[in-house]
Amino acid sequence: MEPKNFNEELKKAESEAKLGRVGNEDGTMKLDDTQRVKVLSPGRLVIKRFVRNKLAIVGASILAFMFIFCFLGPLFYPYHQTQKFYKTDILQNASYASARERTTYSAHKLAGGDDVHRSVVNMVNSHITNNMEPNQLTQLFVFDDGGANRYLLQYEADSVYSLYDTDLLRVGQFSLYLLIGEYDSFLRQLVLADGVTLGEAFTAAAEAAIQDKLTEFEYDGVSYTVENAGAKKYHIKQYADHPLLYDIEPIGAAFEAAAKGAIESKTFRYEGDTYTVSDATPGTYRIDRVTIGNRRYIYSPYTINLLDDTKTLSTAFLREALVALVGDETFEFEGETYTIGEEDGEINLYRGEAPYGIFTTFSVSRSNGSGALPIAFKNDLKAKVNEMIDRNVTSDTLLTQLELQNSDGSIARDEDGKIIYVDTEVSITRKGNEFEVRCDRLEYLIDIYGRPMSTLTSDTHLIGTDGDGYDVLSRIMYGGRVSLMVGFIVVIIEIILGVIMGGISGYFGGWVDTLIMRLVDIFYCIPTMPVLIIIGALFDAVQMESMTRLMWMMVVLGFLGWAGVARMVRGQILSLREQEFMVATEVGGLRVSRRIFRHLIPNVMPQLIVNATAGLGSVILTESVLSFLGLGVKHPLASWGSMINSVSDYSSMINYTYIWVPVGLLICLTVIAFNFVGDGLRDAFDPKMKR
Amino acid sequence: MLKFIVKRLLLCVIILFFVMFAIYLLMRNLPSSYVETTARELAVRPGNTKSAQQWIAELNAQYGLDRSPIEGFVTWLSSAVKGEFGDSWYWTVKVTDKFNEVIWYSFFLGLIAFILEIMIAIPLGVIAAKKQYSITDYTVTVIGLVGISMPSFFVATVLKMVFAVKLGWFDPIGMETARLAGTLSGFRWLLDVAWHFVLPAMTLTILGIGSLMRYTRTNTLEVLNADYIRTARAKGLSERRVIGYHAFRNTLIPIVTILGGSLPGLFSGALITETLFSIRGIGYASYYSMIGGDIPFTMFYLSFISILTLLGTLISDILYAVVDPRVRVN
Repeated sequence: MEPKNFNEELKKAESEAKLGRVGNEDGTMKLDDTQRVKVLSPGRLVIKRFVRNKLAIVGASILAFMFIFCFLGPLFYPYHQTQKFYKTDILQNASYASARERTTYSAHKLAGGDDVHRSVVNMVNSHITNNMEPNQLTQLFVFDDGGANRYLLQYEADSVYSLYDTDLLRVGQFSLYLLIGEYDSFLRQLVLADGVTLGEAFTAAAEAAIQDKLTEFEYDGVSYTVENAGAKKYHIKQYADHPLLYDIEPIGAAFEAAAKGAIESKTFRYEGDTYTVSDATPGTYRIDRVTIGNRRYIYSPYTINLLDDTKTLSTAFLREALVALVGDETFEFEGETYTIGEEDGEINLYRGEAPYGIFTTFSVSRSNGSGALPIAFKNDLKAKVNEMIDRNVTSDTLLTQLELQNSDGSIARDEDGKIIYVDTEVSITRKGNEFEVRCDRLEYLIDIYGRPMSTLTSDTHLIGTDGDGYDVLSRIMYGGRVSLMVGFIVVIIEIILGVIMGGISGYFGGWVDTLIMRLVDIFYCIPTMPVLIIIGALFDAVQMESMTRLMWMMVVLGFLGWAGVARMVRGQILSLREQEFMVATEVGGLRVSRRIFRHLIPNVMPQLIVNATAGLGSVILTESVLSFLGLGVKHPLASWGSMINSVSDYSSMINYTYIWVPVGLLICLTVIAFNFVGDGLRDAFDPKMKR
Repeated sequence: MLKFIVKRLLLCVIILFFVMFAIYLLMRNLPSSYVETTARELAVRPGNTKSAQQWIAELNAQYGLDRSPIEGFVTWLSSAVKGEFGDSWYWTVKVTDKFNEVIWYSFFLGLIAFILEIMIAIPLGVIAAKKQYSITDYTVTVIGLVGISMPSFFVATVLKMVFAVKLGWFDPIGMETARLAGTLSGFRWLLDVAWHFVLPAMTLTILGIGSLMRYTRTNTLEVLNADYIRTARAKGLSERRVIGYHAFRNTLIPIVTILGGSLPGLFSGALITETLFSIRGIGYASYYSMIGGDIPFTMFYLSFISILTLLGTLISDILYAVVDPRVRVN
């Protein structure tokens, strides 16, 4: 049999009655007309009652607005949630440049320099500053990288040294003295060197001499020297003019004299060749002939101040210039010929005939970005720094010429492309050997905490920007998405879990019911907020990616919240299952699942919907509290709670009200709206409360 | 009645056991526990000879964390039953000492808010019900809903902004005036603390007022629909007497029930509000314990809260039977 719609039946009866009636064609109604009583379906009744409730309508409109704002808003809004904004602003007393007298010898790598061992390259600077006497013409030093390679560091010119490959040829060795033995005054024992055979009498003589604190004594006609070797030990040496023992063809007496005279200086030249004298064993020195190979590195503290401040100094150019400085004073670089000449104590660099730059050890570099500095400024600064050093002051001011900046922070140029300079007062502070130059500059910065509707920047932000330079309004939209999404998903999880558990519990009863209800009791008893805080700390520790974290948070929230739904569903089902229609389903032989999910659950629907709506509000609240504590949604994802958290410290709270007030109001508004709608739905479903 | 109470109490014990077990498992599985943090700190101290791993092993043994979670729980439970909750790792005093130190601040803060809530919410709820669908009713309903709908941190921040920053009447955080700390004694100290309790108490009142107001309104409406009210009106009593005597007394039945049920909650502290205002109550202490992975204090606090929750339900069930003779036990 076809199901009958009561409404349709009534209408049919009405029209039939109309046809059979005589008169009354003007459409007026009689008191007993069935049409006078309009019968609405239960659903429409609920809607009608809901619509009549003013607060519910207000709530529903707020929610509609929120959804459009959060989910559709970003589609039409020009900025993205993680789009950083920049601005140019005057940075008070910004660091402009820093200057110092360079004392470190920086290494400039020449061809083949890659083969030189790193430890050797790094050793050179400290060796020059610590061991080499300044400006001595013939100084060299042999490095050994622990392997077979030896390098020679040679003084080239004022403040310029070069490192060469070398080959050493052993010429021979000579001894100054023989070490006879070592006397340990603590053990009172004399140990003679290997191969020395002197009798007991010598030992006694030596001990006597040491105890008498003599520096020399004679034994058997030979004179011995006692030297304190430290650590209560004395060396007994026999000085003698031992001849040089050659490994190669003997060179001559003059060479031998030169070699013996070079023990202190360690190097000497003889007939155009360079020789080194080095310790072999105590008292014995070996002589090597040095064959200088290729130059691998050039060391110098020099830099070049270019007169044309549009050019920047490249490392390759500086290297070529330094090579030329110690060489033939001319070099070619990118097709131009440069020459070096000295004038008034300054080493100048010329391109062709025109002055091009000056070698200097006074280096000035920009604090921010690259680009050359005006030469006039460098000269002014150098003079000022020297004056400061003379007067021994640590801070001073200087009126100099710096580049004029356009309003966007770039450097202003005239029609010819020349940089325009203006008088600027800068402050100089000394920190050790560094001199820092500061002045007010326009800088290109991240637009942090930009004021709402600020006109300072090219982009206007309706609610300003936050601490990361993100647009607040766009963060609010995306944050709203997250908050609403969290609310819905959590409530859906709660309802699914709650309906299943409550349904099973209520329908089957017995021990299943008892078991599930005790589980519900346990979940009721678990303190939600503390547990959420602990789990938030756990997520922090695992350093979860922010999207995964969000998912897990929703699962946890849902898992902790199903107990209420389950209890409500069980209660409803307990009363429903005793009703006649359930007896009918049993008689009809329906499956259990069908009985529960087709006949019982739909009857619980009204309460479920009311519960869910109110639940949505509370989940959004919980999420915002968690995010506010920094334990919920994490950067770069936005959520309403985390947005407030980012400005929750005392000073931000005072200064950035334009961030947290709108966000807080939105949270309130959304939750209120959900509560209004929830109340409205409850009243609509259950009109008993109306008077 | 006695049988009912005993049965319920037994049930509570079982529930409590499982709740504590679940929470203990959770605490033990925190990957970055207090022990690890401490071990890392100890390992970088000057003069230290052990590696972080060695420190972890040593500290785990010291704190009894080398046992399996089940063993650990049994150990914890057997000493907890005796009232020994161990030493707090974060606060480095005995858990019970810390609890005694902080609980009364929380209690008084809660009590002040509770009294204020009752004084404001119940009259407003009755008035709203009396004039249902009037402007007053809508206003009261909306205010109540707004109170429920505001996140605690937002209320706290707004109050701080208005009363502490703009008006400068109160300190934004802290429990006593910082520059006077330690100099005040007796009554003046009490006044100082009370002054600092104003904003937190206001926050709690605003947050709590809504639900009580709605509850009162709903119940009063129900009572006003009852036949005996019609009878009272019919016999010519003044509206004042109808509402104030016949209706109100019956309204009180469910209200007393839930108020009784929320009495244990006065001890549970306000986690967020206390933390935001730096009120050194139980909520504040436990927040930092939880964040710091301090197992003894957290376990103590959570079992305390769970007991209070169970106690609340029990009290309200019993009160329901006591206040309303129509309700039979079972």
